[in-house]
Amino acid sequence: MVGGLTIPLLSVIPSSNDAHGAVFQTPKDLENLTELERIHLPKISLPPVVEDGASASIVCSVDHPMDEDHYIKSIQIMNFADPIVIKGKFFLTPVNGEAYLSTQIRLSGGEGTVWVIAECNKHGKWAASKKVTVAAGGC
Amino acid sequence: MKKFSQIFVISYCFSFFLFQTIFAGTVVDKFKIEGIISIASTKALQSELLKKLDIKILDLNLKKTDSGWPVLRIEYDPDIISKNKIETVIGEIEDPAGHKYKVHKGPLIANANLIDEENQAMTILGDMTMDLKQVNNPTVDFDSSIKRGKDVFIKNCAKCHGLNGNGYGVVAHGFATWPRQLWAWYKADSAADSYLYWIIENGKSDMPPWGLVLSEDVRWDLINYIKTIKKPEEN
Amino acid sequence: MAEKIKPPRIRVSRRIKKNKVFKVKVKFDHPSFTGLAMADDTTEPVFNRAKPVTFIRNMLVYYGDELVSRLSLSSGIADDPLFTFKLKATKEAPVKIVFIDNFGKRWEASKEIKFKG
Ligand code: HEC
Repeated sequence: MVGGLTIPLLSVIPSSNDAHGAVFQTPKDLENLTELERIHLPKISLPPVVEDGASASIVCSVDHPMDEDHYIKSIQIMNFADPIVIKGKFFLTPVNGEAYLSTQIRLSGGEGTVWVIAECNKHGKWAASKKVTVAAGGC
Repeated sequence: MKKFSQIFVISYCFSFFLFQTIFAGTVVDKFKIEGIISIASTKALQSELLKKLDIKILDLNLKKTDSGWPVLRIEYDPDIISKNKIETVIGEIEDPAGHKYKVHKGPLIANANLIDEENQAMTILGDMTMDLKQVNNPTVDFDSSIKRGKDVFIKNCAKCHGLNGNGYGVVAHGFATWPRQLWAWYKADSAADSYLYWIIENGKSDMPPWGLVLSEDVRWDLINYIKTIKKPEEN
Repeated sequence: MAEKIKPPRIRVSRRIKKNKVFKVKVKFDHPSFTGLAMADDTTEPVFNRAKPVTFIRNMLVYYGDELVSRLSLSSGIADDPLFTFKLKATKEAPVKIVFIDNFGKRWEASKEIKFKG
């Protein structure tokens, strides 16, 4: 079974940009990313329509170097509307080579927004989100 | 006069006796229920139970309970029915979806303590840094802020922290960290603000980073509301 | 959902070159559910507790003796998940992946990393 799954790589550009700011950085203009934004903004791959909310495939990655002194410390996946908000948080080290995680999450039914935060050891926390419609909720 | 008081005493005693046999013999017990998955479940459980046992159902509390589990309160006469019998009968009733109900037993939080290996790993790869900042509560009208805060709390926070802030919300079992009793912050002064502001904005372990989706004003409403959450009186 | 919990299984790329990044896939047939239901969605919170929960709590990744990643998890993850992440082939050493669930039970699997080409 391992290796038998391929996940369709749909659009990897985050579709919304409505974070409240706070300590979380988001790009000013999604069409024209600065270099700092480009290397920090998490990419989310998640189908826009999920049939079975009990198992939604998600791939998160960050195009960031994983150097000894400059790397992505963590990638966190959330949906604030779900009962279980935080699905998981992946803590990385430079040995990971690339900031990448693929898994399957539970989402409750209806329209929602999946958020991903990437934390850089030097440049703080960066957030991206993706709208998703879930046909059958899987809480 | 004497006769009257005698009759009074006798009838008083008699009525007391009558009262005792009819009412004073009953007790009220709470049963945590597993298996309630739909509106149909709530109805089926109660109507079947009443058919099978001579009891009175006081209420079924789905969410605002001390444990996060739905609680059925039943009044019954222990001389006629035992608590065990009620539990057995609950366990025999079938939900419309096919499964049987069950009386929940066990500790409040069933999750085991972290093992040494996890604790060690979490000190190397975990949420450690807390960069608290000096903050100033900008609230002018506290009453309306607290009112707004309460609404936001019920919608976003009660699922984990519990409607009364006791830390046993309905989903508090579903992740590794216990959400804590928020009444620790009852009437806290402004010295607590830096921490409360930080943890609500950034999150920590299983506490979500609300700074992403709630505006700064709303987060202050929450802080103001949290400071009004009082530990309920023991009963 | 897995009827029985099976030991985790690891798969890595066939050709691993020194200092190149390779993919690690790990499949763990372990049930994971929130135990929640919606018997009354008219009041907040809209969910109620219906069943005890089961979930994987932590995934720890060791490369040689070194802890290189930790995935902190919750019951918001699907049953029988497949996790994929990357590692840089810095040495020929085993990759060991440890899972711990919410009952404190522990499983592990490992795979020897050898350079080719
Ligand atoms: C998904 C569950 C969850 C939700 C939803 C949630 N919390 Fe928490 N909260 C936690 C957990 C778990 C902790 C403990 C974190 C730790 O110490 O590692 C916590 C801790 C806290 C603390 C610190 C308590 C202390 O004594 O240190 C505050 C304050 C708090 N939460 C406020 C809120 C507010 C306000 C909301 C709603 C906007 C909220 N929480 C929503 C899970 C949750």
